[in-house]
Amino acid sequence: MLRALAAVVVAFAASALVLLVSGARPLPALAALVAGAVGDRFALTDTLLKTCPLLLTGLAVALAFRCGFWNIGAEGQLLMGALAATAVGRTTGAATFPLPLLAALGAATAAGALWATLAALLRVLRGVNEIVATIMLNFIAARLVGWAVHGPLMEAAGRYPQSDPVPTAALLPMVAGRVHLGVALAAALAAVIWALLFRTSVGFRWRVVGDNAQAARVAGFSPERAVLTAMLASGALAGLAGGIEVLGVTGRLFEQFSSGQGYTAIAVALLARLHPAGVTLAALFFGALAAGSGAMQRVAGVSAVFVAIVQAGTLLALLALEASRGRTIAAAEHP
Amino acid sequence: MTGAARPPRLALSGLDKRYGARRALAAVTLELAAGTIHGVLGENGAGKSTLVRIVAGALRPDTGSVAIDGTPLPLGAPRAARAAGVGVVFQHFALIGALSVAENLSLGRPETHSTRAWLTSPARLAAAASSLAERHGLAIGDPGARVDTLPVGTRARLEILRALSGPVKVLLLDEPTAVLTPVETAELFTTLRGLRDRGVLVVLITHKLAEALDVCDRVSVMRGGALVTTVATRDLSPATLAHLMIGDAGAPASGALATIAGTASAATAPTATSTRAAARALDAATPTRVAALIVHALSTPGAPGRTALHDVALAVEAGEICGVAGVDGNGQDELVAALYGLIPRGGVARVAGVVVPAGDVLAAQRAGVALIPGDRRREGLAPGLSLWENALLSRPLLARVAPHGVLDVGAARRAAAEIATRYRIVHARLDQPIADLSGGNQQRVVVGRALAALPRLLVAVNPTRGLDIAATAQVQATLTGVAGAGAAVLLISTDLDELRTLCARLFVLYRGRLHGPVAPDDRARLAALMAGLAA
Repeated sequence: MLRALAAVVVAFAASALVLLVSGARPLPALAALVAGAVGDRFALTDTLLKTCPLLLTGLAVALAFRCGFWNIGAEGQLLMGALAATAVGRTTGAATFPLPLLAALGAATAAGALWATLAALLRVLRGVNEIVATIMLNFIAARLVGWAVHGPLMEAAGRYPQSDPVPTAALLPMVAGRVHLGVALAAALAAVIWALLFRTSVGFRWRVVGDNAQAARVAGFSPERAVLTAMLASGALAGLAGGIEVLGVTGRLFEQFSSGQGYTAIAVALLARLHPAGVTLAALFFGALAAGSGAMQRVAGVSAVFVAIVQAGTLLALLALEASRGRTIAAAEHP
Repeated sequence: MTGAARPPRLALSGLDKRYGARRALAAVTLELAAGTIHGVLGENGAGKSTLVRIVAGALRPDTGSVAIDGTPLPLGAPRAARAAGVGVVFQHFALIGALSVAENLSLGRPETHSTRAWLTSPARLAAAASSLAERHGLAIGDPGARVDTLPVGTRARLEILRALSGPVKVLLLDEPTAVLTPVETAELFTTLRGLRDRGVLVVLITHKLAEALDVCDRVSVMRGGALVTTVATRDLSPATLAHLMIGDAGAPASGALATIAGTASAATAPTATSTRAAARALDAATPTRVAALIVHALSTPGAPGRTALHDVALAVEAGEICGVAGVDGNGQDELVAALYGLIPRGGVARVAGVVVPAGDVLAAQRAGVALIPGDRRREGLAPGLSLWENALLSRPLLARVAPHGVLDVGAARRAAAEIATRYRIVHARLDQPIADLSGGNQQRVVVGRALAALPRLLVAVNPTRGLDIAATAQVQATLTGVAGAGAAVLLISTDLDELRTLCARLFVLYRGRLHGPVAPDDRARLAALMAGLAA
């Protein structure tokens, strides 16, 4: 926790330098950033909406990493979830609420889980490196979405590469203003994932396998089975993130649907040290950054891309702090 | 040794190295002459590799010095050691698979670091490699071949060539034959003899007795970090060497060669009466008890780095501690893995009458088998998890505190606390990371966990290796207690003193075959079996 805070401080300090060098005045820019993230009701809503997909994908990544599976594929799993939610939402939308919504959310979850399981199977059965496998599956998912919005899901007007809106019966209800039910669902899932990891024997096995697979095998736990189940759960979370984004925010699918949330999720999970409570805080932080960046651009004229520097800087600072700590431990153990 | 006028090629004096409480090297003093092949023998953990690393400059000793031809070597300085003529072939080959033979040979060679070698070409490297190989009479084949396409025998030669690329006076080889076939080993030994004849001091680290006797002029035996003795191999039989290596509670550690040699000659021809007496004693114990473990025709496939088991038959009774002795690497790991379902096997194993299917850890656990693994860091503990989580790191134990898959943390912590109390595990909190505990306390966790499953058969592999005296005594008393309570214990150990203290019957593993039973006090026969001299 302390290290994470230190990393955030370092990143902001470094970012202020970047602002200075690029000729902007750091303090007003940062003030605009903060105001845009938490300044008023509108800003807070924006922060919560940006947090939601990061929280779910962050949980997905943290869960997989805990089991020793380097799932870099939350992005692809999210896209597959969004694609499935759109397709199912559009086809079942004529039925009465909440059946279309449930069907669409279920489809998103299943699609994400399936996409993740492909990578898990490749590793378990064929020994394929999961980092390569999940990244490749991300590319395929992005192309599939592209194909869908140019082809079968393309709007009836046929003008833009996007789907028609999902019918209202499949959309997530709002709980307050533009804040949809998915935000509450994501928060609840953070608690569920915590319980799953630390209060069930399944989670216990995942953690043991992630820590020492050979010891897990000797203890009678199958590392292969643990990886498969963990990736089912991880992919389901990321797929749900995509579904919720369609059904709660955008209402439709389009090309470039994700702004890279599945990759930011890795930063979220690492900053949180793979703990669900930490993931919640880190997702809020990165969500606030994303929300504030728009305001910063409007008010202070600093490009929203600047926020990417803060995000990356935070992660780099954290990794540097972790790495120096790791070396100290190694030196103490092997004099 | 050499005459007083000429200093020895390699002189080690008073080398000491500690890792925490463990003394890896204890006052090692040794003088070795040029133009000889010298073996250093000992079990895992005897200090052989530490010794190699110190001479190579990879490790700095706490005290002591190393001299080559009378010139002291700066310690902990690999470059200085190389410059002084020390060449090393490490246990795990350090070749780079994606590079060619010639490229690998050019790594770390002084001439390639001259300014002229700034620019190089495959042809120039290949020429240098070929001339080096020719100079030492070692065939390397195509210098342009990628190293990872070559057989291990060729790779071993490459490693040696690399070590010889400087002006080598001392060549250290750390278990170079571990991955070689017998033919490749024979070739390697021819190479080593050639080097010896040209005046190089060859130091061969090994735990294979036959090899040491085959190629070495003299051998030093190490045990527990200390040098036990140094003898010429022509005065030595395999049985004597086995005795020296595994230790002997009855005899002083060194200087007792005469006594041991006497026992050894008896080993090659055990008297009929003693064998029969032993057999009678064994028979007497057999019929009244129930066999907790019966193994019949057990075999495992061989693989690189694995010893195949052949036709292993074994019966262990309830209430008995049955020992399996043997020099490391004769199939111990495979026997344990096969019994516990970690690797596929042929043959039949029954625990308390129930057939245990092969390759199924869960089935073995359900049948009542528990394991104290030999390598607790690799197989016994999850270092990132807490003490209480590690105390429950076993499927049967976890099932008890997680009915229907939901972990009852209160019950789990109580169960862990009970283990901690019963086995006197020194700890601050149950939530403490297991990695913070000392080795002895970590082992107490592993032992306590195995016993908490209330096994019918406990398989314990070197359960006291690396432990201090108090922890050793406690673990040994625990094993005795388990057997007393009616479980069968299969104790697989390389520590013969421990086996003798605890076991009523001993078996010996040699090259994947199980021999015995042997009465624990029949030292001569044990030594003979361990050296592969008797069936």
